[in-house]
Amino acid sequence: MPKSVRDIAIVFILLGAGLIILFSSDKKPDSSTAGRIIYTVLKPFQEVVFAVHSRVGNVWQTYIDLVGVQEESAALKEEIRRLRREKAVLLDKEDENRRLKKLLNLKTRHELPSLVAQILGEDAAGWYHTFFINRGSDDGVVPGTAVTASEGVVGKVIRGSSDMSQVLLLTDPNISVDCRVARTRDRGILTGSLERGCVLRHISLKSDVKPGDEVVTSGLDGIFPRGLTVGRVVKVRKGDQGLFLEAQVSPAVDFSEIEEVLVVLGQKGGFDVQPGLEERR
Amino acid sequence: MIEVLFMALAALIALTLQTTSFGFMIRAAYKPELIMILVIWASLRITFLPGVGFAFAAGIVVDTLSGSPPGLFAVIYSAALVACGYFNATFDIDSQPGRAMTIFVATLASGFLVMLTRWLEGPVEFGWLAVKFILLKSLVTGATALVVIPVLDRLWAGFSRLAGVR
Repeated sequence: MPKSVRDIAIVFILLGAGLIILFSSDKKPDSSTAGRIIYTVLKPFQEVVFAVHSRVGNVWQTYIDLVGVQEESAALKEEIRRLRREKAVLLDKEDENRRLKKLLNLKTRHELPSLVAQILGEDAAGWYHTFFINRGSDDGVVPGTAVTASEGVVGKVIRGSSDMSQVLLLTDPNISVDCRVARTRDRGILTGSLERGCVLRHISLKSDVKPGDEVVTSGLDGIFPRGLTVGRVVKVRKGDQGLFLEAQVSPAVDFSEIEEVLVVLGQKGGFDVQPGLEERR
Repeated sequence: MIEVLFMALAALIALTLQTTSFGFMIRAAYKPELIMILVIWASLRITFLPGVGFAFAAGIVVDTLSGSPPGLFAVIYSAALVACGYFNATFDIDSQPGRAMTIFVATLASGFLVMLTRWLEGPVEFGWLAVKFILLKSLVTGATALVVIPVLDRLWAGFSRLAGVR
């Protein structure tokens, strides 16, 4: 066979193979063997770079902290006194809240099993909004697991290996989260937007949703527990077809700042509410 | 075999940088596509078979380490390598500005293909800000190539002398 014909045949075979993989692949999140091997090879390198970055960052931060340390110390002591007072009030409220919730036989989200995970790296190509965490199937983290931070929802796990997982962020257009506007209780589907952070779609035209309203998870998608903060409404407009309202939502989490996240381990049958249950209550 | 080893090492370094350091240094969304730079470099310096094999394998790895559907980057990188090889044979693009421009165009094309697949999967707004994002990322990748390709050339020259590759 002439060399040029062979080369062309190889190109067609590889492109064909790529297209076959692309169009035959299952759209559901997966954890293929190839993926597990790649994660295992890359993880030690990512950990080394992350550790070096953290050390350098700490040294620099220590230097910065020393500047004006006396003034800051006095302010911090006052802050500690204030926080202690607030903590005592909050503990009392939490105790009261827990008792009331037990009476209502509802699970609080703090009772959900969860894990702290460290962020190891980001999306390899940069065209998608994902990052990697140092928890995998060995820790009970499977595709579809919800990931949060103290500020609110971060995203969900889409792939993983035994000790590493890939998280799709709230700002990626491929994610969808069932949410409610906290004030008006209107439901909508939140997706990431390349242009505007996140967009809450399919809100009823009758809704009174306004800029500044808080958006929380509804718990109806079976992935995210109910009541987690997602973000705040920035702008409201009519959708393309004019049948629903759309709200531009600014995420509560600053994805460039977080270093640790909380992985909310799934429970059989989803979280607090099943579809339709809340309406019946 | 020696070419494959060199490319594998380069890809490992590129992927480690791409998934870690660049996010710390610059805004993560605009980080350069180092693997695309490697693929275009391979099309100009490496023989065809290891080159196209590398492009395909690198694409599969990037698909695994990215949110893309499996196979997308394998197709993009293989097509980019073949197209770049063709343009180099026809127009002789192997100069500093020519390489940077080729990488800029290849990244631009891959960005629009990624957006096309996103658009096919679900509702994605594709306005000026999305176009600006693709343009900026392509510009960053093209500019990075001006630094990375001479470094790769020097490394390859040293490696090939050491390993006896012609």
